[in-house]
Amino acid sequence: MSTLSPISQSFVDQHGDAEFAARAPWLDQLRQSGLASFSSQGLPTPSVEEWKYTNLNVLEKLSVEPSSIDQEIDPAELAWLPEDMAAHKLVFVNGRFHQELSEIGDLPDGVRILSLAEAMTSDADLLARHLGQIGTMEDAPVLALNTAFIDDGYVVVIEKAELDNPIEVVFVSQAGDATTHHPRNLIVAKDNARMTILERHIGDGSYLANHGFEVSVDGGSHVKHYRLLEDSAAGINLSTVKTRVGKDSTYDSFVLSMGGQLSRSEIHVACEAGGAHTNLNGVYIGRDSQHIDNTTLIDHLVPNTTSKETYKGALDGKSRGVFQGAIVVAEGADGTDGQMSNKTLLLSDESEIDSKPQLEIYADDVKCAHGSTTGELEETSLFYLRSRGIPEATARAMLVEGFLAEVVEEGVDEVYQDIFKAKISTWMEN
Amino acid sequence: MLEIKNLHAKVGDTEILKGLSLNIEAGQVHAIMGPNGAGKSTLSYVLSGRDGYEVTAGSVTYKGKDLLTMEPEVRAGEGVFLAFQYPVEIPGVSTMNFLKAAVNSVRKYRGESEFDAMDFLKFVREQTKILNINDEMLKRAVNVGFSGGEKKRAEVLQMAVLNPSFAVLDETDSGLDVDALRIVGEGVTALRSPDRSMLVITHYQRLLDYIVPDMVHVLADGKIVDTGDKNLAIELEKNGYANYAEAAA
Ligand SMILES: Nc1ncnc2c1ncn2[C@@H]1O[C@H](COP(=O)(O)OP(=O)(O)O)[C@@H](O)[C@H]1O
Ligand SMILES: [Mg+2]
Repeated sequence: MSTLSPISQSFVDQHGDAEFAARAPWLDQLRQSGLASFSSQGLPTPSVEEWKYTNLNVLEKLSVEPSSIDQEIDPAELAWLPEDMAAHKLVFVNGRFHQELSEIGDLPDGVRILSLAEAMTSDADLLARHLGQIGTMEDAPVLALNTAFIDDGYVVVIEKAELDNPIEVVFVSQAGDATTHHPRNLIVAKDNARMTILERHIGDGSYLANHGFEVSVDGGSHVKHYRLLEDSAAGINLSTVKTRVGKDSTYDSFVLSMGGQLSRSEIHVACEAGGAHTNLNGVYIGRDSQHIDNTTLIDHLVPNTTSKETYKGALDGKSRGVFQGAIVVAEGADGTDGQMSNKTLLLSDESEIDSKPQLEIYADDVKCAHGSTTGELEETSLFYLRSRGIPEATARAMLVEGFLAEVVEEGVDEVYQDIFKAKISTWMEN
Repeated sequence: MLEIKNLHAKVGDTEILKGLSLNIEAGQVHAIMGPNGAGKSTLSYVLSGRDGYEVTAGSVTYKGKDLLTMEPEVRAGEGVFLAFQYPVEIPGVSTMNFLKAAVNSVRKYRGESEFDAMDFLKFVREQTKILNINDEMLKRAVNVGFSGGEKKRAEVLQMAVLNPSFAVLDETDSGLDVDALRIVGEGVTALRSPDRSMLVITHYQRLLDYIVPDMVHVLADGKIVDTGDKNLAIELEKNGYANYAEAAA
């Protein structure tokens, strides 16, 4: 076994002392498998291809003490949806479900929405069936680390039901001292289920929030998973989403990454049965020395599955963006249609983007395309707006917002678009 | 209203305008015709202040002020408008929001009160009818997916709501079928007024059936090589520009 870096080792040590709230032999086993996998790999370094552009050595400055809830939270600070938008609301503070701030409300038959810790007592069988089922943790040390510390997060299981109102989840990271938490979230949708999750990540101070998601969408179901990453300037947000999409089902993901000193959203989608479809969309906006990574992998495993992916970003200051998008079409997966595009506007001389779209095709009859562009605002467009009397600064902001708004319009249901567009506008104004 | 004197301008290292002079009084409509590549669009860009068009000699005086030192948005505020030969697509920005931003910018510049959303909608609808533009078109992103005719009608709509005192229309009639041409022609004609001047760049006499010009100029090789009344346009349509090749050379 190779020697672990000090920070990796400290995670392992911390695990020895950890007192978990959720307990069951199978869960302990799952954590142990995560720990074993993490211990054998350690945190990824830039020598690993998938982590070439994102260096986690920033974690060395963080303590890895587990987080504890101690500060009061003003509910007003959590609010982000329009006041008249009803939602099933869950709030997590430093990875732990916060009962008082949450309001799940009445649920139709076939829908379970609760915290993982609670599910361990009320729905242990259900959890045992679904948790830790997706994907291997080889080559996924960050997810392995998350698995080693599974203790809380959200659980949504929906069967033969349509949820009219969205599920609202707010993850609050409260530092005080530097802290680390590893929420594990589970989404299971089957038998023509429909639902939307709106997720917001915020925090203050410096911390590591290391999220794991397992998503399973099957039997003609449709899951819309929209995330807003608004972490604090010193916060670090890592997330690994592992999604399986089954027959005639759709997983939509939209991520607006705009916070944190470093964020990485990693999404793997496996299209496992005919008619499986996924839309992966994202907007990233950075300034100062923010580092924003969006890494995706779409596996088309069987014939007749489709995917569409668009990520767009605007980078200012010394910020750095990373886009790594892979589409892999397995042997025999004929009839695959995979379209991927990544476009970045560099708003300053010192901002940077590493864009790496990738196609690996082992089938014959497929329709796949990818494209990547990086550039500045078009002079022609800017002149057009200015010739209509719009001052240059306003014109620039309009163009950047318009460029980004296209992805919001493509990736987000109309009723929720303004939530994200408003966040982008506010960012532009600052 | 507008006085252009001995204007020389280059794009990159190439001199395109080579001593162009033109005088347009308030309320007048002048037409400019000329072969492709003569410098007509270049003139329109120089007048509206586009980067990359360098004036090397001459002057442009607009309402007694030096137009050439003004930023493009200032010119718009002062009442200069250009209907683009190739209107620019602005993805992700709805036509309505764009119009509102533009109108409120120039109103602010002119010391007028800005419209709120409701008032603005009313204001725009007064203009859209005559141009056969519906609300659905206003919701779409600026010029994105517009047909040729829609783009040109949208340009005229912008002209209408921005209320300019001097408008350049660069081939606003190109690529239009008969119906679209009538809509555009009538739309522009409706905007004629004693305190608004226009410079209409066109290849065809047919637009001038609607917008009868006070004067017609021929632009060839960066200079005005002939000037006449509306009959000159009819003659040009018949005989082409061959006669001017020598004059320009
Ligand atoms: N951006 C440019 N760079 C270099 N040459 C240009 C540019 N734009 C126009 N030109 C040249 O300037 C000349 C005049 O062009 P233009 O003003 O568009 O003519 P018109 O509108 O009369 O057809 C043409 O020879 C054209 O090729
Ligand atoms: Mg032209």
